[in-house]
Order: sequence, then structure tokens, then C-alpha cells
Amino acid sequence: MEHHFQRLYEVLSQVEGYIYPNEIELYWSVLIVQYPFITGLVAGAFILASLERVFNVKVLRPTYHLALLTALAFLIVAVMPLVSHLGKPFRAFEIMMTPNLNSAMAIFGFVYLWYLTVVLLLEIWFDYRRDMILWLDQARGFKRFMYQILTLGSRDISPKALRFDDKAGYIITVIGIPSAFLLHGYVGFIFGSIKANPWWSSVLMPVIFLFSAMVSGIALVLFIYMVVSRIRKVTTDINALDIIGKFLFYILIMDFSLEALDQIHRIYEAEESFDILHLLVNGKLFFSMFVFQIFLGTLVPLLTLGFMQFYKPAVKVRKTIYFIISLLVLFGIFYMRWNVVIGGQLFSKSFYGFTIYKGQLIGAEGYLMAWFWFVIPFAILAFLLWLLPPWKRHPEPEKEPDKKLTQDTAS
Amino acid sequence: MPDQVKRLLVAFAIFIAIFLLARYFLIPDSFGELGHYRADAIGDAEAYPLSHAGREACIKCHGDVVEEISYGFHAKLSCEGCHGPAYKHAYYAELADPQNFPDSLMLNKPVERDFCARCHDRNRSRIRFASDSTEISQVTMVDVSDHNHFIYEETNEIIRCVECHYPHSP
Amino acid sequence: MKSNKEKSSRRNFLKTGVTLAGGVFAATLIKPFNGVVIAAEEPKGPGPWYGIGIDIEKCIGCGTCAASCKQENPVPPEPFYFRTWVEQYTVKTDGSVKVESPNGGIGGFKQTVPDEEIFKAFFVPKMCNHCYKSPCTQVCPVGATFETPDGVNLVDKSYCIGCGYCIQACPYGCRYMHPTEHVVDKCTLCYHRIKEGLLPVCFEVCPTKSKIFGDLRDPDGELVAFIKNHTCRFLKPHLNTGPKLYYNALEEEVR
Repeated sequence: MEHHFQRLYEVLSQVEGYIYPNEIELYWSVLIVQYPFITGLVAGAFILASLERVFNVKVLRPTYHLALLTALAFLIVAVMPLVSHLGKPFRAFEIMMTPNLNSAMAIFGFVYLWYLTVVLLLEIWFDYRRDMILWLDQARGFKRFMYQILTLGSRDISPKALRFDDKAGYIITVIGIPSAFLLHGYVGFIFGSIKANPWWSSVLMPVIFLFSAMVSGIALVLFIYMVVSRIRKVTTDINALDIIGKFLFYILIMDFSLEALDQIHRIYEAEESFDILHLLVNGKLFFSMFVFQIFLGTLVPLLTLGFMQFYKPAVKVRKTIYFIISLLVLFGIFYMRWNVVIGGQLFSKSFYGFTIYKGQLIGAEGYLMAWFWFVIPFAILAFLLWLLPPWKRHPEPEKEPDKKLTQDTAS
Repeated sequence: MPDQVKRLLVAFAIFIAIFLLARYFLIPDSFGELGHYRADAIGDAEAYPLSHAGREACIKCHGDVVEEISYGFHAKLSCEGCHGPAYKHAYYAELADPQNFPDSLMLNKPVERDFCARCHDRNRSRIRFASDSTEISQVTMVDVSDHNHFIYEETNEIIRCVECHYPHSP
Repeated sequence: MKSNKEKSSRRNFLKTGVTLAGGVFAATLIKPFNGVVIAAEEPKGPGPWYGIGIDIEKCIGCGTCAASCKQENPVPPEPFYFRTWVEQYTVKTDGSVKVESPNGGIGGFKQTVPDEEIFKAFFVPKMCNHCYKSPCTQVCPVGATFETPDGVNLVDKSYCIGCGYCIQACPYGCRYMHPTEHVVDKCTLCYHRIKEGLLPVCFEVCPTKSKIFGDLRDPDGELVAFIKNHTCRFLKPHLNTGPKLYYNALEEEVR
């Protein structure tokens, strides 16, 4: 506790201008930066997966299941930064018990649960059901035990049952797309609906969050696909990479335009809060915003990808470029969340001054904790890939309804 | 309905049942009685103990001082504004022998220049101007850093305000 | 091939499961989900509806209110936690505004700008506005902060999860996270005092009686008279938070 106050006295000595005395301590730390970041990765990965299934982009086949499992791995962890940041983490269940229906945060609990159980788990379950039943016979020990639980004891792999699985999976993906939009749009709404904070309060916030989520999710799948292929010592499918790169390019354009629109709108309207936000952006957020988020995280990937739409370098070069771009984009989107969450708390609501964010390495709200919650999803993903390896799935039997389905989508 | 869906529905039913069961047991009793909150929390807030007792409590023992102050400029001041919270002090005084009053429950008698300066130091923020530019102020002000700035040679201390002005009737 | 016995046992299990779930669901209906309506208007019903008046012209910036608040209530002594504090505004002749609140005003203020550079200067006591369209109670995910029927915004410390969302939502900076209790804390308008018929402590100790506490429903009360006889304004009226703190002589510079 003494250490905590010591830190706050240091912050107090670095306050610029006037801030309300209760604003010296910045309550939403790097963990709350992590929360929309991870949730965004989920929504983005899922939307990439749904491209293959619903919009029938067959080239993306190699990344389809990987994207789904990535989404699941990150979704399981998504609320953990939020919960571990709570003053009273063991009271977190109250959000589900007595949700205040006027609160964006409370409704998020249900949106999350809906997305986890009804969309992701169900979709993966229907996708893998047949494989799990087939794997069950060969598996031993823990793996076998897991399959037994996960199949819920059903052994039905008759063509009729499989046809149902396929159809159900399709319907769930169709429901899943708006759900993914809802999931991350809602995270944006948690910030965008705070009228007390002019840096957050924007009607564009949910949309910006959504598009940046797609950008980061696609970059993550791109990254994981390349890393997993390297570990498995198989070559990546350059056609899939190119297509993903193309989608990344388009969505990056939209994301950048939306964010630019938001800022231009602010600058042109120049409301009461403009002066302080102007100082904020050009001062405390200069590096994290102009250098990290906009230059490294947006402009460099955008220009490189744009260039590659016209001129395609050799495959090996392209793969390296995609790898670097995926990391840059993830880095940039992380700092986009940082600029929103931390930036929104750096200036006083009196508009007369700034506090500083003094992060800690250790402790419940430290950087180590934030890294921990970012590494855990990769561990979960490794486990999921071990349990449900997409590359060991049994080739699907030819079936006529598939054709019918594709026709349905085409029409 | 295919077999696997039946099983799935059972799994969901169990999940929902557990959720509802948890809800039944975990929601506090008075929740929702008055609004979306625990109505008993109002009682909790009411039950918080007092620290400031108010002038009525002071009069019981210090009637003479209260009488004395009521003729001066400080007549309307709260006793505890200068002397600090007195609830425990007054509560103990009613129970115990005033002669053996524990030191820990004695109240402060602030005598430093800085204390008086909180109200009486000249500060532009304490001044309003009438339409004919005359200064209006709620309090009498002096420049505390200058007013009778006499330093005792023996102790090297500045003369205290209370040495000239009696705080209960300044 | 499954035997009939197995099938019927499964059916029985299903039946029991569904009955059980139905029963539990029926039982939970006794505890209804909350209404979706924000307390966006004055609650109907008898009893007082508390409000606050602050006369900026009378405030001398002694900081006794902030000091006594920390003694009456469980507010940590460190200068990062305040339920009420005082700000000193100095508008300089060059048009710039200097705002100060060293330790929330506890211990008083010094004049930091020489007289000749001052255009005008004044003190503003701040505290929770006890808004009736309060953004803080609107965002609480669990219903741990609420407005009492008599118009006081409270935090249920035994129910608060400490997410800090309300701190972000309060435009006036009146909430803080208690460093040892790990829940949100704020002005209770000394609820334990007003229910005993006493004044909130910052009103009680104010030497110039610049703070007026009262019932907004009492047409003959002191507070209503104050509002009637002075030109009163709210802080940040454009946010439509419905504050019940009326300031007399509130200047444009105050935010």
C-alpha cells in the first residue's frame, strides 16, 4: 500500500495543469487495453473463418479451422483481463446474476456468453463431431476421455446426421457473423457511450472498434497460420496468404478511413474539449498514436499491401512481407486500443490538465499480467490444436446436399 | 431430431438450470425491492457511525464557552470546524469522570498562524467588489506573512495570532 | 443397437431434467429481472428529495469542508481521494485560467498570482452533484450504485465489484476507488447524518454557510428559497445529467 501511495505521489508531482483530485490515479490500466484487444482478435478471426464458410471463399480452406480455434482460444481468455482488473474479482458473477440492463458492461456479459456457447463452441462442435467420433477409436488416455465428453456420448455418423451437422454449422456461421459484429461493436459501445469523456464519446466508436477488430483478427490468423505451418514443417499456401492479404488491405482501408473521419469530425467541430484533446494527441499520445498506431500499424502495412496488389514479388519475399505486416498490424491495433483506453484517462474531465500513466511491471495490473493474458490464449490454442488438429481431419465424404448448399449461397 | 441435437439440448438445459439455480441462491434478499439495487444498502449507509456531534453536544459541558462565543464574530462557527470531530469525546464525557478524561479523546486547540490563515489570510479570491469598487469580504483579512510579523529571539518562533486575538471572540 | 431400457431411462432423465429446470425457472421468477427504465425523472412518492445549494460568493476557501469530510467518513487521508474538495480559480488579465486545489483545499489556499495580474478570482467547492439522471448509476453493471428514494446517490460497498466504470462515467470526478476496500467510494451526502436530522458534515462546519442543504420538495424550505432568489446554474448542463447541486454565481470558467 505504501508503495502504491509512493507511486501516486510521484504521479502527483508530474501532473500538468489542473486535474480533479480523484483523477490522479488512472483506474483503467493496461489490462483494460488488453481486453478490447483480445476481444477484437476473436471477432476478427471469426469473421475471417466465416468468409470461407458463408461466402464460399474456397482458397481460405487451409485457415478455416485454424481461425475458428484461434477465435475460441482467445475468447476463453477475453474476459480474464477484465475480471483480474476488478477490485473484487470474486464478485464478478454478479454481472450475470443481477445485470443492470442499462449498463453496456452488464449486457456484454450476455453477448459474450451467447457468442461463446451458441456461436463458437457450437460451430466447432458441429464441425468436428464426425472427426471426434472417428478419432475416439484410435485415441488413448486423456485424449480419448476428452473426446468421450465432447461428443456427449453420441456416435451417430450416419449421412443423415452429418448432413444435419453441416447445415447446422452453416446456419450458426450465418448467425455468427452478426454476433461477431455485436460482440466487438459492443466493446466499442462500452467506451463510446461514456458522455463524460469526449475522447471516447463518439457514435463511430463501435464501428471503428469493429473494423479494427477485423484487421487485428485477420492479422492474427495470418501470423498463426505461418507460425503453425513452420512448426509443422509444411509450406504455407501462398494463394491463401494472398487472399488474406487482400482482405486485410481492404478492411485496413475502411478502418483507416473511419478513424480519419472520426478525427476530422472532431477537428472540424472543435467543441469545448478540442483544445485539451489537441494537446493530448500532440503531446502524450504522439508516439503511441502517430508513430505506432498510424505510421507503423496502419500506413506501412497499407502501402505495402496496396503495392502488392499491383506488383507481386517472389513467393518467399511475399511470405516474409506478410509475416512482418501481420506483426505490425497487431502492434498497431494494440496501440490503437492503448490510445483509446489510456489516452481517454490522461486528460482531466475539467479539460484543464493531464495526469500521467505510470505502468508497473509486476502486480495485479502490471505489464507482466497483461503479457500473461496474451500468452495464455496461445497455450490454449496449442492444446486445441493438439486435441482437434485441423490437418488430421478426415476427408469429407462426397455428398450431394453440399452442392445444394453452395447453390443456395450463390443465389 | 437427430440424436446429437437431443444430447446438445440436454447439455444446454443443464447449463441454463445451473445458471438459474445459481441466480436463485446468489441474488441478495432485498435486491430489487426499491429499484435495481440491494434495498438493505440504504440501511447500511444510515448505520454508519457519527464522528461530528454538533454544537448541542458541546453545550452540555462547555456551555460557558458556547455562550462566550455567541457574542463575537465567530458566533456562527461550528465548534468542530476548528476543534475536530467530537462525537467520541462527547460520548465518553457522558459516561466517565471528566477529571480522568483520556488524552486520546482530547480535542485540538489549533493555535498556529497557518490555521488562522486558512480563513483570514489576504487572498484575492476572498474579495468581491461592490458597484462602487469597494471591497466586500466574508471575513476580516490580513496579510499573514506580514501582519505583526514579530519573531521571538529566544525560541525563534513567530508570534501567534492567539496571543493578541482571543479566538472565541476575536 | 440400444436396448429399450436404455432409451426409456434416457427419456426419464430428460423428463426429470426438464421438470427440474422448469421448477427452478419458475422459482427464479419470484426474483424478477430489473426494469429497463433509467431513473430519468424525479421519483414519485412522499418524503423528501434532497438537493444542495452552494453560494460561490460566500466561499472563503478555508477547506474545512474537505478536512471534516475525511474525518467523518472513511476517506483515505492521502491527497488522491476526496468526496468533497475546493478549487481556487484565478482568471488572469491575459485571459488564461489557473485552477488549483492543493490537497483538495485541506489546509487552505495561498494566493499564487499577484493582484495586478488577476482579472477575477474565486473559490468553488465541489462535491457529488447527486444527479437524478446520473451517468454513474446508469453504467454500473451490477446495480451496486443507485439513487435512494430521497435522491441520494449511494454505493453499495458490499456489492460493488470494483470495475471502475462509474468513475469513468462521472463527468465531475466525484468518485474514486478506495485503495484498501477495493470498491468505489463517493459522497453519501452524509446519509448517516441526514437521517438523524443532522446536516451533512461539510454543511455543518462551513464557517460562512455557503453550502445549503435541503429538500427540493419543500416550497418553504431554505434550499428552494436560495434557488429562487439567486441565479443558479449547474455544472456541465450540456451533459444532461440532472444535477441537484445548484451553484450561485457559477462562472463560465468552472468545469
